[in-house]
Amino acid sequence: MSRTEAPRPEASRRLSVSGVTTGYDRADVLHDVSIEAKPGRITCILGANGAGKSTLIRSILGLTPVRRGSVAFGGDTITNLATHRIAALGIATVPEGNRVLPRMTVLENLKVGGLLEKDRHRLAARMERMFETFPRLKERRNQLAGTLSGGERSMLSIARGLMTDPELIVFDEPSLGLSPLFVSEVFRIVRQLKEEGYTILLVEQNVRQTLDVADDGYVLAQGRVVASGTSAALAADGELHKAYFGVH
Amino acid sequence: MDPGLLAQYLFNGLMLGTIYAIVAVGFSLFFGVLDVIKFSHGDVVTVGAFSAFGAAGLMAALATLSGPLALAVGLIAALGAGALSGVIIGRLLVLPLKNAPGVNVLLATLMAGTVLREAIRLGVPNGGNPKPFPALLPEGVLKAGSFSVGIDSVIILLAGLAVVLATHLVITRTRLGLSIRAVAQDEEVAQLAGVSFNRTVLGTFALGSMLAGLAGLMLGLYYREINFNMGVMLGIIGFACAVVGGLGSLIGPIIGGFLFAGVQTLVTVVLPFTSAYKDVVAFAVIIALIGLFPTGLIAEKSSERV
Repeated sequence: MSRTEAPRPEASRRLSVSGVTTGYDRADVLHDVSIEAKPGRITCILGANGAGKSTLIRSILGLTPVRRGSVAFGGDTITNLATHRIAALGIATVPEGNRVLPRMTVLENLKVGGLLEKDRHRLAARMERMFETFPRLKERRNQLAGTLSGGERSMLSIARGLMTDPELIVFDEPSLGLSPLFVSEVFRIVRQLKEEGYTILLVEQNVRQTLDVADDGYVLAQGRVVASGTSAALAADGELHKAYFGVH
Repeated sequence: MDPGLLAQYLFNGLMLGTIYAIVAVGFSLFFGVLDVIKFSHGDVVTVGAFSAFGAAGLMAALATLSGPLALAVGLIAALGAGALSGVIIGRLLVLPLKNAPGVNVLLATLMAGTVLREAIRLGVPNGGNPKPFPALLPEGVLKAGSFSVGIDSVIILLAGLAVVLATHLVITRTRLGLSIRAVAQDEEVAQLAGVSFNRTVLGTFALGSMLAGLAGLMLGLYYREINFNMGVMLGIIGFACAVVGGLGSLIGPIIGGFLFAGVQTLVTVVLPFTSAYKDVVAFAVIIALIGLFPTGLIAEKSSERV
């Protein structure tokens, strides 16, 4: 295949969340949360429903206002920056529920992901690469995204994120609502993306498979970071499992 | 009935349908992207008409202009004034009320429409009275049997149909159109992909209001007369067409526009003695259709909502 786009440079920017407190109305949902996603690695955030995982992601992406603390990506402070500007800095998101634009075709969904890119040739090459990576999407490129199966939607959601040519990809509970077969497929893709040089921030409830694929991890409970470390260390911590994930 | 007369009615119906469709599409665009009703839309039509009137008049006073040049000036004035008022209303009234109930936007824009209307009535010399609109299009009459139609009317109709088509192409083929549809379908997903929400909303308001300004110019050219409250009825008709066709869809309001004009024309042709009641009948039909098809003739699910 002809590549007009140079191979991706290695990810070099670090995402740092420092002492972030966020809330809705009067109640704080996150309390003084600090996490880091190091370049070229998979960092996971684990926690039960209501632990504040989604709020943390929304705070990073500018969808929920941060009350205190700061978020930085490389040299840029992105605290409370408009969401589309954060995306333009190289942060792609695969939103919870693998949301797609339902009344647009697969191709149009990918084009929306490519709106930031002004160069036609690079855009075409990137689109071609998506179809190579996800042949299923190529077959269905003229189909409305709302008619795709759950697994296909998740592929499309990931591909739309990649179309923005990001350095960091945020996955918000990608396994939610998918069949076990597709869950394994999503984790395989996450691993592959890391090998291609992307930095990954993976938010999940699926503890075993997530720790398996991740390098570093944080555990959230009631809006606070209650444990952090390499995923190997987190996986080996029996007390942690008993306290937060239920006994295996 | 005399076929020539019938053709005359048909032509007039097509013309009205096109103008209604152009106004209705604006309502649908605003609703699609932001779920709001912008009730000042009809008065933006008046703003477009008076801007073209003023600009063409001013230019004619300064220099003798050839017809096409005066028309170009009027066109730019109508489109520019329409787009500008749309962006200002969007920026000052609609975006700040984004998280407020939709009724607030409806009320705020209803008031803004009154402000526009009164500003024209009081600001334009002798603004309370109808103004003769200059004939900017080539004169001449096309005749076929007992059917005769002005060349200017034919041009207006063809231009209007072209604009409807062009709007469709903008929505389906351009970057702005892609952004508008993305924001309409899921504003968070659109922003996460790098689409600016505010810019897209203002772009939608500029586009829709530009269409309203153009409708004002078309009405002026067709009827050769404009009036400070010409937009009121047109706004209500445009809104009704958008709702009956399917608010949020693109093709729905176009169908709605031609449907409304079709009913008006039919009443005039079939029941000439009731032609004074043509609006009454047309609105009654709209009410019945809304009862039968609560989500519009083009149901959102199957249509391509913008």
